Amino acid sequence: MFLENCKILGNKKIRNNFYLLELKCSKDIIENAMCGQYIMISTRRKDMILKRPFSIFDIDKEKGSVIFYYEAKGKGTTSIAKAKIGEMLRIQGPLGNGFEIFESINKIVIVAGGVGIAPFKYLLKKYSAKEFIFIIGGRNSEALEIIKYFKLEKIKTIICSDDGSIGFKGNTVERLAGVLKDYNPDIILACGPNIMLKNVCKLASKNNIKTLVSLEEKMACGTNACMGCSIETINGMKKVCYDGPVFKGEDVIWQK
Amino acid sequence: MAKIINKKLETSLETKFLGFKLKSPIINASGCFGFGLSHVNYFDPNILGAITLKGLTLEQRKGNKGTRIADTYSGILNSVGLENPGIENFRKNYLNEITEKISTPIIANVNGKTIEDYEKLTQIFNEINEIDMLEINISCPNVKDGGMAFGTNHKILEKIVKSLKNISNKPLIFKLTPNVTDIGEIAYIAKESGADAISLINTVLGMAIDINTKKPILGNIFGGLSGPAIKPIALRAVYQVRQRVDIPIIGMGGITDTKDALEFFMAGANIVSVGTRLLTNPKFPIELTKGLKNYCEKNNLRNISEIVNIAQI
Repeated sequence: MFLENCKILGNKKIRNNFYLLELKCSKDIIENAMCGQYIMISTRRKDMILKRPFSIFDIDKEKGSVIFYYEAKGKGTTSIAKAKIGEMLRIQGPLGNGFEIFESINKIVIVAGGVGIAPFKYLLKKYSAKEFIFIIGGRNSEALEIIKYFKLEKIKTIICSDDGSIGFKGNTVERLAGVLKDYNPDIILACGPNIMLKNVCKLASKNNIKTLVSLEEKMACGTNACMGCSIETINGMKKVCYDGPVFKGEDVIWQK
Repeated sequence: MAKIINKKLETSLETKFLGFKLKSPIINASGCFGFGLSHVNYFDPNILGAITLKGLTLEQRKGNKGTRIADTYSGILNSVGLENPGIENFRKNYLNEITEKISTPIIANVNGKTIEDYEKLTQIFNEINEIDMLEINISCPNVKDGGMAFGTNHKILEKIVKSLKNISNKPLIFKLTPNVTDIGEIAYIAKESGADAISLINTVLGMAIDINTKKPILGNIFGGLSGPAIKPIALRAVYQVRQRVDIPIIGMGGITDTKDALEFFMAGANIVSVGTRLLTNPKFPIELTKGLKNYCEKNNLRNISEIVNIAQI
């Protein structure tokens, strides 16, 4: 909801194309941002007019900064990866609905795939009193280097990778199936590739467990103006930018 | 010795348009502003001279499947596909909130597959007093039938303009596509057939391919290009249309700052419409309003209309 120019405090390369970006933001943003929300960031390129949506990874209230974990994949994110400390970036946010977890929910399984791990750092901070099983998957150990930035001492963590270079060899849905054999969570939270989310929801529904999924779609406005990011739900067409990005998994009508 | 008194000229952005006194010649383009309430966190929609609603069709539409937005140099490609609740649902569930919060004139954007669709919609809008004007969209490139097809065929265009003019109790604006050989001719036919105003341009047909999947990015394959990249095309089209018609023109296509808007007035637009810029700078109408006022003051203009058509040779 706020439009501001923010100073880059850090833009650290973690491994390969994964970065942690830290921006100094106004009190408005720091105090209003919820876990699961995102912020749109300009690419610095004059020829790319759309901002890109970035999940909020963490908030440092003392420093007054917001931290983002992202992958430099396309032209826009690659440009942002080149930005230096001290540069200013134009941002818009915080946007979206975030993860809201009610008091009655205490046993939570998180399924995070690849860069989909991003919204969960702040979430784990906010809901630290709850019980979590944290399933993290990625391509390989380099893609999962970010795990070192999480405080996981009190959290049961299950790591897996496509090539087996870290944790189990296999994917997060396989790990989830294993967990659900003898654990009955109140809810499953998931963020990652659509195919993973679809399969998580399928599995959850078989076990009668509710899910909250954070979706991703190509976005233009971020403000419910253009309908570029619409998805089909049982309640009609919804916008990932405004009604989401977090949706009840049971509501989503998955496309092939 | 005579005293020289410096009198500051009173400038106004008030613009007369189709029987309405608009507070400003700035409106929004359909499809970039939802139903007028999408940007309330950024600016008061009532600062606009009028608002244009997202396109409506008779039936509810889900819009196109797959990716609807593709980023491209100085622009965006969209293939939303006219997702909308349909006219009846709109009337029941959306109209009240709009009329509660919007006090500036409201333009509904009308879409159909057949002439009968447009006729039926126009009839229904006759009963909706809260809508002040209709913008007949005969230029949408993102739907299978109708839309752009109407804006490219001279005979059908004449038929549809005459028919809707005969039915409607509201002023009719016809929105043109640039995907034609001679847009001036199209505008002329529309005007001769009874159009009250012309709005242009709608998006330019384009596409993008994902080199990793080796497939088109947009689910609908093709999409409409908008944003700064199309400004020279839009400006040229406005200039050409003004050469052929004397009815009011709404100019749009890549207006990104005050200077761009000025170019459109000078080319012949009476009203400027802002679309894609609302997506990249949600506060733009505030800046543009200030920019036009400042321009008038600096150049001693009583009203921005003094520069309309001024660049026509």
